[in-house]
Amino acid sequence: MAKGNNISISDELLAAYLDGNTTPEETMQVLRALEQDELLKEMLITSERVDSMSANSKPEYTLLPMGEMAAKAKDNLCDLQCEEYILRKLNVNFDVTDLSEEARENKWLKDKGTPLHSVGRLLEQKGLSVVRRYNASTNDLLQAIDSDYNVIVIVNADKLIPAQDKKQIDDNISYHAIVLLDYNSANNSVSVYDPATQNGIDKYSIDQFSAAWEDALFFMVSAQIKTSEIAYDPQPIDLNDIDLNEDILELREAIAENAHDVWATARIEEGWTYGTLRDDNKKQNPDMVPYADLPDSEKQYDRDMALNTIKLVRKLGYDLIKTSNTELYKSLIGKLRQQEELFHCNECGAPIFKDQVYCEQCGKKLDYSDYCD
Amino acid sequence: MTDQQIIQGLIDRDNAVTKQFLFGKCQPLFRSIIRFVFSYAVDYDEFVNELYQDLMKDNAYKLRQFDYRSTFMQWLKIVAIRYFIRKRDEMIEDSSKEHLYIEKMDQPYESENRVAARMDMERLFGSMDNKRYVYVLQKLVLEEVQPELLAKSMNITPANLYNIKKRAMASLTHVALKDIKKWQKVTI
Repeated sequence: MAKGNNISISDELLAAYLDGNTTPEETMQVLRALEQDELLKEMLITSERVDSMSANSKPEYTLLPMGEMAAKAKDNLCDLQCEEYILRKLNVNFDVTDLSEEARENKWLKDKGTPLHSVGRLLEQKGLSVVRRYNASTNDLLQAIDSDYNVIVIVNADKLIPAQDKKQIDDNISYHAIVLLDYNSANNSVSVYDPATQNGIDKYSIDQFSAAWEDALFFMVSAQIKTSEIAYDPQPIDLNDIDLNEDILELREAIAENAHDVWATARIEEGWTYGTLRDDNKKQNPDMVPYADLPDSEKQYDRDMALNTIKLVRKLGYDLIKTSNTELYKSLIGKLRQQEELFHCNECGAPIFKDQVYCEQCGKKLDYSDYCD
Repeated sequence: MTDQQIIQGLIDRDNAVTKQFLFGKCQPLFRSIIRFVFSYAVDYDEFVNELYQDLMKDNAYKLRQFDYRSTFMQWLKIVAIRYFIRKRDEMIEDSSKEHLYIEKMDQPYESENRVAARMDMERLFGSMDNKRYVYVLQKLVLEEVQPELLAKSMNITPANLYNIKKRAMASLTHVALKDIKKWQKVTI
């Protein structure tokens, strides 16, 4: 077969190639050109390095925005005001100042808003039964409302109430907490309590609401006064889109074995011993044996728990890096240390890394101006 | 904003778009490229301004070349890499190296070449470790399956598929580069 034709590759063709939008012939045209074109080779290597180091390099799976801040309404208190609204509606006694202080003390509320995983914590504290759910469906909303649950939904405020003069340049989402009061398919409308508008009740079309809700990955928090009749319907986060490489998979067995040892240690402290059959009165359990001696069905339970934990860590936007003298580790740590010296939060002066979204110290939402030298 | 709106904003010299997109959102990208291309400290602002002037010269000729076959960010990355490499070489050699842009394939390849290209790609696929990447490339590039349909069949979102596809192309390039290093040419 002939060698490459030494054809210069246009920027447009190269970009299409990297995005996987070339035909087989064009793809091979690029790969053939690589043989003779040193510039092309350097461009592709640079592109690969930029992608691997860039925060713009997005993962192959959808991250859960648990650490993002619900931060619209005055003083970024949208979630606090939603939870107050629900407590008032349920006639739960509380002091507004105490509630705010409690939220701040527990870091459920920060200067720049409420982390999404903390939405509903105050309701829990006041004795309500709270369920958080990502990728909820319209049916979940309807069921919750029909069952007299109080529902906080997180939306992209910019889509719910688009500002006339604001241009959405980037992909940033303005996470915002509202209380869903009614979802009426017949009238194609939803009614909400929105702390940002202070209108009492706001109405939106279902399409507008859905688009704004989708940006927050259909996150809903439902709360109800505890009763014995509450049906528990666990819906773990779907982790099927997370692939783990073999290095990480090796961790599974170690985590599973350790989890079993932790469990057994706690049982021993409570006075449990081995018994051929489980007997709660005698505190005997057949699983009080070394992990290796467990039946496969029990091992599989620990393995599933371990695997799902590792996957959830990734789904939440974290990664696991082996802390040894690998080139990757040294490179990443070097980069972090170098950047830590370079940038500081304009608000509180804490060191920040380039492309960090929030300051860990004060919670300020960072933007590109914070990274200017 | 869509890519189209951003490009139009840049062409129209819309201050908000230019400042927020080119000098804001793209800043980490340009900094990375400059860091990798130059082994010494350079004036970031000056260099990015020059890149901007280059994009805008002749009534934004270069920007208007964008053909929407990739994301605008992917295209801009490539344009910036080429621009900064060229600038570096000019600085070193003090002589202009005019690179020839665009030699688009005006004529479609013959069917024989099409088959050969497919076979060559299949051979490179054999050297790729990640079979998921291979599967995605086979479906999207060779079988030309619609991305939305493939994403649905893989139970992932189109956005996730796009990211997988990008990594798959990077992996394919990596394999091809290794192939060249090994044989000093692509054996096709």
